[in-house]
Amino acid sequence: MVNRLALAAAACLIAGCINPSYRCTTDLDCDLGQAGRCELDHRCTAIDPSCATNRSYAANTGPEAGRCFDDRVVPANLCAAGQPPATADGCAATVCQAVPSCCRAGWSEACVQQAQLRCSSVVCDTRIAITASNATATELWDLRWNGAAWRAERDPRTSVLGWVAPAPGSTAPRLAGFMGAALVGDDFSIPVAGNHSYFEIGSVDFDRDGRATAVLAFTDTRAGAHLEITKLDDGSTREIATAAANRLSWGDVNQDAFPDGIAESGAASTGYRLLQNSEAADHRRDVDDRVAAGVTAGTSGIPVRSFDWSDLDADHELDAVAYGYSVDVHPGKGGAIGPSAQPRFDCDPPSTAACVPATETQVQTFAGAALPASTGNQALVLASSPVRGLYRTELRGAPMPYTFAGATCGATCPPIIAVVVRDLDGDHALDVIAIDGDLRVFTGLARDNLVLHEAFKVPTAPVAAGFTVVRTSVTGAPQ
Amino acid sequence: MRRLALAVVLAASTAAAETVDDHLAKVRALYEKQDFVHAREELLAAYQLEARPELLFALGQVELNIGHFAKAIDYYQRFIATQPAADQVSLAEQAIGAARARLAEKPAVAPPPPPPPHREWDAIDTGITALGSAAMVAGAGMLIASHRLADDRSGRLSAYSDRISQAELLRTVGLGGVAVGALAVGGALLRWRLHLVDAEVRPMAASGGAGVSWVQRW
Repeated sequence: MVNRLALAAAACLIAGCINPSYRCTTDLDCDLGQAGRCELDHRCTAIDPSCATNRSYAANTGPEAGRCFDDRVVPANLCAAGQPPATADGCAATVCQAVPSCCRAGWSEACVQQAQLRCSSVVCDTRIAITASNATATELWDLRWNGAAWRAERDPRTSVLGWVAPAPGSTAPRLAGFMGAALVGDDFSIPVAGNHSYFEIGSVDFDRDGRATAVLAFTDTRAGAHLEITKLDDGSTREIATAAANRLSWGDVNQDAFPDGIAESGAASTGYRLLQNSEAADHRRDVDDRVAAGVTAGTSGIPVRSFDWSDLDADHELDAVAYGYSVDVHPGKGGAIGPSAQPRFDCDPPSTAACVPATETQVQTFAGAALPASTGNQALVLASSPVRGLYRTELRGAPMPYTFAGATCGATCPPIIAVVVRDLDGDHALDVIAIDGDLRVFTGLARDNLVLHEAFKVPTAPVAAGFTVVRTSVTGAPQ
Repeated sequence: MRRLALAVVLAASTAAAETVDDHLAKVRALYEKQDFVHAREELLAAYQLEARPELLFALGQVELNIGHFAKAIDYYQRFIATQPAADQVSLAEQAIGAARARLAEKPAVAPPPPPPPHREWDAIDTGITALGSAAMVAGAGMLIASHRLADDRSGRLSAYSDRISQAELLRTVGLGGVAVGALAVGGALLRWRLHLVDAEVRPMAASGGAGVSWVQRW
């Protein structure tokens, strides 16, 4: 072998071979072409509009020079969202047949759910980071289901707890939160500005550079909100101004290679906006937040509790759902979503019809989550408030109410204010996890016909914590 | 003198038989063409038909011209033995004298074969090889320099790309140098291999001294 290499080297020397292969360490090294960028493989890329990722390898960077840059990976952990899009191999190929954006724009929560539904090899644990707030306190909890039991640990960080994607090549998702003037994760601590009020931690391959990227949302003394695109590998950040950043959720709308978001406008507004991933004048990724819509009919409480992305109409495009004063479904069609909700659910029980009485409508704030199935029967799980109710409803047809067996609190029961859909028992059907304002965890297993059981009580103090806002961030790891 | 004697003999034979005359007419024609071999055959044929003495003299002349001096002397002596006229005896004796003189001459010595051609490495070959080798060394140096340039990945991509451009130029020139050098050395070897030189050594002697002359042809 050594002799062959020596022979090849000698032949190369004689023949005058030159194999350029520049290795960069920072973006500044990549000063050829527009908006040079040093990729994870230490090769430079530059803007190339002919490529899906809008980038190709620069000249003299090695055998890939001139080829389109592609950060798609075979996810080491199919149970964790926020990773780069997958290559169409194995389970991911099956998932991407159902939801092409999983191999095109990013591995989102919708992709994880499809993997749990469609791939017999995918069995995940379930991890829910909870940021629960009431008028006086915020508590951070790390809630986990290992396939047999629930476990919850109070997290010592001070504000906003969320899961971020595993580091490239790793399987372990990382729990992150703010502590002092730092974003602290399992294996990183990144200083943040002390005058920023952070309220969201998300994980998405926003720049399509394959690097672990957290998207933080904050406000400061400036108008509006801002996103902070933070690279978890080196702590570098940049800011993007946006009109909406609350309850930020990532999916894909326009069928390009970049993930798009949806977020509430905040400041008691009922509006929310599509954050379409676009290119700024300096070729860096930006958001176009001009498409706006709004939940309707509510006058008090939380205008929007959460957003969700799921292919509800089985047309292989992700649809966006806003859960708040109303439940607005925005079908993705032809690479766009419109500002009009089609359909819109309201009232208790939820209905697409006009809602009466008006007083009930005015205080109605839904929580919810999409409940995909591998074939047909795509559904939503909707939780109503202020009266605790939980319903499973398909886009057409009457909602099916869940029964809270053994609930003795009656009319004083705190409402369900967070809903998570994952496969808890590894039967490749999605189960329902509902969390109320006291952080009681209810589960409904598909194999049990989704009959609801109280599964766990997060040990809050006091027991009846009465949280009015519960933000959840979900991930998992292979079991 | 020989032609004159032969004319006398042939003129004296005009009274011979018709067939002998025919042969003699052919002899005259052949003799004019200096075809002495056939002339001798015609004379012998005529002599068999009729043994005339003058035919012996004519045969002596023919053999003399062919270079068979001993045979010629024999024919002349046989002619004298027939007791011809005194002037003819005198002619025959002169002819015998001439034949004997020729006979006494040394046979020609065949010149020695020339020496076989040989290959020779000359100054031109040396010059071409030296230039070719220099071109190859310079080309190899450029190739090595181009590799060193290409292996230097310091600085930014634009600087590296500039070095790659220089390296490619050096490589092209270097490869050209190596190729031209190899062709030159190969050409010199081919020239040495295929270019055969004739050479001749002649000893020289003169009143002032002696030496050797070297003569060669390209």
